[in-house]
Amino acid sequence: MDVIHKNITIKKIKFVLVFFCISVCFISCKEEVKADKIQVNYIDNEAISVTFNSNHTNFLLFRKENSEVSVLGEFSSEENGITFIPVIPFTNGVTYQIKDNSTIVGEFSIKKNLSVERPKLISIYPKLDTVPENLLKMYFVFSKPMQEVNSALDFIKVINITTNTEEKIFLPLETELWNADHTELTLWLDPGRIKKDLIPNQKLGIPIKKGNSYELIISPEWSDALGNTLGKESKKRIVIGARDKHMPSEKDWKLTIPPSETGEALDILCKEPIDFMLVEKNMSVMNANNQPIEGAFYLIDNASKAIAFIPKKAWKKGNYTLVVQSTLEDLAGNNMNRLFDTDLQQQQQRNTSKTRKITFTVY
Amino acid sequence: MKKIIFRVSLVATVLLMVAATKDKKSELTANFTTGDPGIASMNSLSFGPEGILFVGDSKNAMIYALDTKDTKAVEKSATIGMNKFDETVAASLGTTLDNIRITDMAVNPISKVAYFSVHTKNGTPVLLKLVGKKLENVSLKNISYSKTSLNDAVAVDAKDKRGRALRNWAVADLKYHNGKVMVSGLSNKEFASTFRSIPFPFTNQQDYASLEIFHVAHGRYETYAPIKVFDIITIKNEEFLLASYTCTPLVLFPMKDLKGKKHLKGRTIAELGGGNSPLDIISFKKNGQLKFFLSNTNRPVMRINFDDIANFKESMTTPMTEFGKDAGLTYDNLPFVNVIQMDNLDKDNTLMLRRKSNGDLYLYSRNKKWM
Repeated sequence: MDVIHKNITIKKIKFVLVFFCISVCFISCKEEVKADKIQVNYIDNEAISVTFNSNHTNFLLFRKENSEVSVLGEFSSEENGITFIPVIPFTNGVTYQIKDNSTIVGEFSIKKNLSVERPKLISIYPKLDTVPENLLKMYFVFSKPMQEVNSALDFIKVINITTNTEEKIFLPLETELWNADHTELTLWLDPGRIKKDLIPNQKLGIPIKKGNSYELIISPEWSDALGNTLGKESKKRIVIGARDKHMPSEKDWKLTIPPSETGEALDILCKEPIDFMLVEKNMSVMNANNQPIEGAFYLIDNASKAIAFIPKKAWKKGNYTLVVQSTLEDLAGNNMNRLFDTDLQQQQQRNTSKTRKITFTVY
Repeated sequence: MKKIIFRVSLVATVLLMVAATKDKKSELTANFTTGDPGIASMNSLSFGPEGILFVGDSKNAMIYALDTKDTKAVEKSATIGMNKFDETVAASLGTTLDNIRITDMAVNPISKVAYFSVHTKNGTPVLLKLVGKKLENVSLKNISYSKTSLNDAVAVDAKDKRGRALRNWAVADLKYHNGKVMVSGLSNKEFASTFRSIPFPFTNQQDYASLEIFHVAHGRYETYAPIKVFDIITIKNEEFLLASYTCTPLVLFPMKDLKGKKHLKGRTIAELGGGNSPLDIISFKKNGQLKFFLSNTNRPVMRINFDDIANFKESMTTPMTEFGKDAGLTYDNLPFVNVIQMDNLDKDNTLMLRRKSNGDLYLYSRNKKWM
């Protein structure tokens, strides 16, 4: 009886051992098809490709949550392994699987890169606190290229502090007006509401009303192109003043002329606030030979009236001209030739000259 | 010997035919180069002849002509019905829904293949085409192309101190018609509508007109409103630009006058109700009658009969007194709401991208019989 039992026990041990060996072999065989040394390759904090080693040749790559639609891109085989370059960089916080048919041969995740500096809202123009009730544009300048998927208006809330109500003052546009590197946003206050007697103006009134105060609240959730959010809420308060019914005129400007052999600024003091974001395009300083002087314009007060032109090289003695394109606008969109709110049915005499000039001499 | 002569002649004829075909094609793509066109954004797509896809790039203020080489003629498309289409786009790009935006859709009239322009969070523009139920990437890095700038000739070289172009151009719509690419848009610096007519193949010549309309919803002449979408309509052998503006007058401009830097006044034929912006306009014949279809942000798809446009002789000049009210020629509201993209798919079908009431984005072919 004991002998029989012993034989059965030995048989059982043999069976377990054989099963163990087969399992080990199976697992190690399985290991062979797994991708190893998976390395995500970054350029400028963007995960642009993945490289791995595997003896398989037929791969597809998937987002882990969606096993039906493979990721578009190109596999290539190089000395250091197989590289997959997706059409767009891999997304932070997403896990990917490399598959051969239904077999998962590798998996990797893209971590959220928290070490990258958050974007900042550098400036909101106009900088001054009191704006005319027919203010036409506001500009938002960021330190980094911002995201391009959601509408900017999803992140800007406007509260009328006087009436304690949330209001929509900006014009929504399907294609938003950003600069090329997506760091500078132009928002229009609805022109249809600003222009007197138009139906939107009659029914909804002007976007911002004289005597009221508004607070712009910029969401901390607004993210940059890499997905990093602003992280903190920004606020700007504006008080609404009288309607601006005047065109800017160079005749009202005062220049402070720098001495020669210095790099001091040419100061331009305007009578009314002007749209500083249009200055760079519309103003230039020329020498006596009508050659442009290299330099940059700066806003030197928050009232948007004082502008400085700082030359790259020291001034030389001689005559100069400050050339201003008549398309330069004040805060209400009035340019040097016409008011923004003009009744086209009335015959008006207009100055049509494209440029205005102020000459000055450096001694 | 006769056999040999016959064979040689046959081969020569075939070669001549191939050369002739190539020559014909080269008329439009002769000045194309192959490489990376440097597209920075894709805001508007439209197909021209020979599978050439025109792309409006607001960031670069450029129009690109891409030779897709997608010229295998197909008469009829397979039925399309894809729910959660945006999720398919996101998964194809290995990213998530919050990281993509479909900016436009255009169907190649030769192959009946739908193309989609997609923007990602970091602004990378992607061009995808739908083949069967799968999306394929159309490489923008190595493609045959030509391009032309939308900036004024004098402003082309105007760069600011960081080397960026000074002006952005928000391209609203573009279409190819009779050897010209027509573009409507808005500058980021001046709120002024501009309409360009650009000869294709691209040269240095561009005609642009400032189009003035009587803006009924605004109760006065209005030069600032941008044309949102447009089409070409031929009435009694004369071509007109049928322009639909934001907030939403429908206006006719004679095409023959869109030359030089003219300032033109259009004839307003309808006010389609304020508080709304048109998204797409297509046209096709139904039972022998030409009809125009307009999709909108805040209103359903509108159907306008060619005859009603042709027979509307007035020019609307009376200001609207009630907000949101429509006036002018009559139109039908169709039971398709939230149609974000729309194009002709084939002779019998349109292709629509529609946001359903449950929030899903549905791409589907719709029989023209039921439109």
